Amino acid sequence: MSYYGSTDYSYNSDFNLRIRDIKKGNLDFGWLDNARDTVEIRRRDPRRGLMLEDVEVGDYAVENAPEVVRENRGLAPRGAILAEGSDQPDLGPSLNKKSDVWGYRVQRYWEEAMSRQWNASTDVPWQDMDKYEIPEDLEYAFCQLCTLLSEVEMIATDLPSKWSHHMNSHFQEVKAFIATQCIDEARHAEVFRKRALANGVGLLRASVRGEHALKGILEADSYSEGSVFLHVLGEGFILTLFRSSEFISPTPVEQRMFQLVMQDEARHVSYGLQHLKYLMDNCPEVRPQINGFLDEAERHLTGLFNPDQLESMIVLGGKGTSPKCIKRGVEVVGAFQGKQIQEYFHRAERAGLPERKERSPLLELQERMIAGIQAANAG
Amino acid sequence: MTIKFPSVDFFQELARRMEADAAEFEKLGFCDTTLGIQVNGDAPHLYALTFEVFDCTDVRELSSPDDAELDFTLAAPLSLWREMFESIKKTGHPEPAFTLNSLSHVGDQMAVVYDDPEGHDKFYRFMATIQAFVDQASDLDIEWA
Amino acid sequence: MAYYARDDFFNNPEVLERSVDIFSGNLEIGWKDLDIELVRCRPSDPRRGLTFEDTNVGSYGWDQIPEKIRHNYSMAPRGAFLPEGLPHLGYDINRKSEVWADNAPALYEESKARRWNPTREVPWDAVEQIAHGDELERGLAQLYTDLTCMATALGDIPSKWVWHINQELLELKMFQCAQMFDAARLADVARKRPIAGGTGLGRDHAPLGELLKCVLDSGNFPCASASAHILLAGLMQTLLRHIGACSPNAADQTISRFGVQDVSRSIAYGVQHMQYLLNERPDEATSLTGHLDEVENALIGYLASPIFFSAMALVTAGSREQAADAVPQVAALYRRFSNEHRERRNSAGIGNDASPLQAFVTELEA
Repeated sequence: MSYYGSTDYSYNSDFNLRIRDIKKGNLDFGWLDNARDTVEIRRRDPRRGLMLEDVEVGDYAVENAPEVVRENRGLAPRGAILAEGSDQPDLGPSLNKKSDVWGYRVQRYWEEAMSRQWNASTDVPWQDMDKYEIPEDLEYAFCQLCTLLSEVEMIATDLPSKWSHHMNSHFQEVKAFIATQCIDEARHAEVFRKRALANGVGLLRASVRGEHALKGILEADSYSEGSVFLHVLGEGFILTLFRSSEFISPTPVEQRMFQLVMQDEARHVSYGLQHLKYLMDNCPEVRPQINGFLDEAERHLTGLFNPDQLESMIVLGGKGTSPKCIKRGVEVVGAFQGKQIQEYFHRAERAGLPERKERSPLLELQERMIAGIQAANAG
Repeated sequence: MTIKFPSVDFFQELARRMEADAAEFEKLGFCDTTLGIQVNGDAPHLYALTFEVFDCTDVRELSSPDDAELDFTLAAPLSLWREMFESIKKTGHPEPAFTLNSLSHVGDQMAVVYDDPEGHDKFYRFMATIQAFVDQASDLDIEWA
Repeated sequence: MAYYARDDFFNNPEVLERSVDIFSGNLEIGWKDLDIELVRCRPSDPRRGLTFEDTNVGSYGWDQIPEKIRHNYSMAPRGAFLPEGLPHLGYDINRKSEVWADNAPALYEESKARRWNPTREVPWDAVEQIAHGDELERGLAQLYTDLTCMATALGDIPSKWVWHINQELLELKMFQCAQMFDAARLADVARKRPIAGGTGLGRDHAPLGELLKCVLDSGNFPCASASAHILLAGLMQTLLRHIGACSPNAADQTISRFGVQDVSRSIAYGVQHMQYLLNERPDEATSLTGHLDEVENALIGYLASPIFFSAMALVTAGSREQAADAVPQVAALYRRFSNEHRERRNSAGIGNDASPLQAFVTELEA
């Protein structure tokens, strides 16, 4: 036990008196006498139901909340009448500044996430797997890809959960949204695991370099640093990887899987982008810190380009292991890697960090690889 | 009844079918985006499709991309759109190489034109709905322009 | 940045060389020759789809997770080939009995299959045309305000612990993610409902804060699990059932029905978790019993608190005027809750017939 309540009710005469009062029917309705004025709420669009933005009025609206929440140290939702300061137990929230966690449009992302949930057990047509014959090389390659994806997806549950319970309950929308991220990512790890185990092979080799990148994400010093690494950089790259994986999927079963995970991943990237944007708009003094962090995070990310992942995608992209297939696969994977980097810079620019393109090590890495490949081909 | 592609009627028919198959689209969740469909060729066409909640609520032809606030536009030559819909006709779903994702991803046969990455990411956020929307053309008798 | 990898991959010439080699078409395809268990898992019941139960096979299954996990501290999925050099991701809950319950994988599947969307599935038109009186509505609003705080705590518990838990226990971690989502959904609907009803949110109050602080500040996961899943979720279940039973409004009945389902999964996990833990480590029963008694002390402070008790009496009676007459009914409700709670404690192996809650309810009935 870390906390013992201020009162031991077993030996408390006031408490005994209160029970006696209750039994006599003496109830305290002070809270009812001092109730607040009413509000009028209507759904703007009944087909959507009651959206968060419909209840964003008066004291309940985030736009009317202060940038720094000082009054609420407990779990009260925004707009509740708070207990007097000295009476209020301190539950120790440490993320109390809106710019620490907020992202533009986060209420919409929450509603969208609730609305677009799916079920990996039933929404992937597992029963159709027997309809298709997948060559052994491709099945192994796909299982290697699934191993990596099942491995990396859980970072996106561990990182948000690490920070969510520190967030002030006045930012309920953010806590709620990242709870959807946790279940989304659990579902992703689940679907890739199930697929690897479904067709005669199994899970293959974990990635040492990839794990170092995951550790870099998990051990970020602040939520914002963790978010920019996870949501914008990491999930942005994974989103492009999902797109490629849908393209190189051996059958419609895997295609369906990637279509579904892609939607979730794009939502997380959007939140990350809007959090970074909000942070840059409202807290520009953290720009050097974020840039310094990204300099290292982008180096970490090179760990995700591990040989097993590249090779498996090349085999899948070329649909085999013959030299001709591998040549085709190299073209496919090369093109998507370039796209990953371009899309990341574009997102960073829109979020207010256009300098990433100049100072990022990613372009240098790409140039080194292109030069190396040209030299190898020339040799 | 044959229906011409590209045309406002074609997309309106898909919108009508979407409304008729509400249960399927409700399962996929809210879809809120205005996207462009650009058909390139001798006589290029650009359509704006507005999705709200579970429906496609508006279809119109644009004379310029500036006539609507498009989150993103899928642009491809008529021949590619035709290949895609003919692939969908075979089984009700496109072959792997002819999904909207595949076509717009490798080789950029179908361009995704956008200004804001947030708008771009809506393509992925609502991918399953948009794919299901075009898949409804599987039993349409299409007259190609 | 808190973590700098020992190997700076970016400047490691071997990394670049290997990548260049691959892009030049020289693949090793070593992953095809690994010594792994080959499996083919398919849905045993197509209506359920491919469930975790279907994939609980051989080295991939949870049955083979050792009690003390010594071989893997990374995020590598259970059953994968573990190469040399995987880093330690900082997991410090590495003992199966600390967190495991055999029903966790099925509860995770159930959570997905029984998902709901309060934004659309609650008949909000019934809230836009409330037929009951203002006092009852304010009483309901107060209970919903309390429920919002409780739901937030119920989500904060897995949030606080899941990232400490070894990845080998993945189905359990996934269930905790489902709990976070369930709790977020409940907090969302419990906040929306009173605002939509027009009276708005009620008051935060210290006895509730004390209770939630006792739950959240539990010093280890088993204590947190006992207090959150058996005690707090049990309380929420009772509260939701009571709202559904007392409110004439269709929206409240819907919220009650769905909310009860969600919190009941947490209870089911909590009881089985305790059973699994105490089967493995029976000596833990003493400290867990003491912990739960201490949280019950805070619980009775809340149950007897002026705001909560009077709101319960008001909602039970339907009006302030008749609330005093409803005190016996509230006491009877507390009795039923305490009986259910005692049964769960006993079933979990941490029973105490003389616990603070039992003593309090007996006193209230006397």
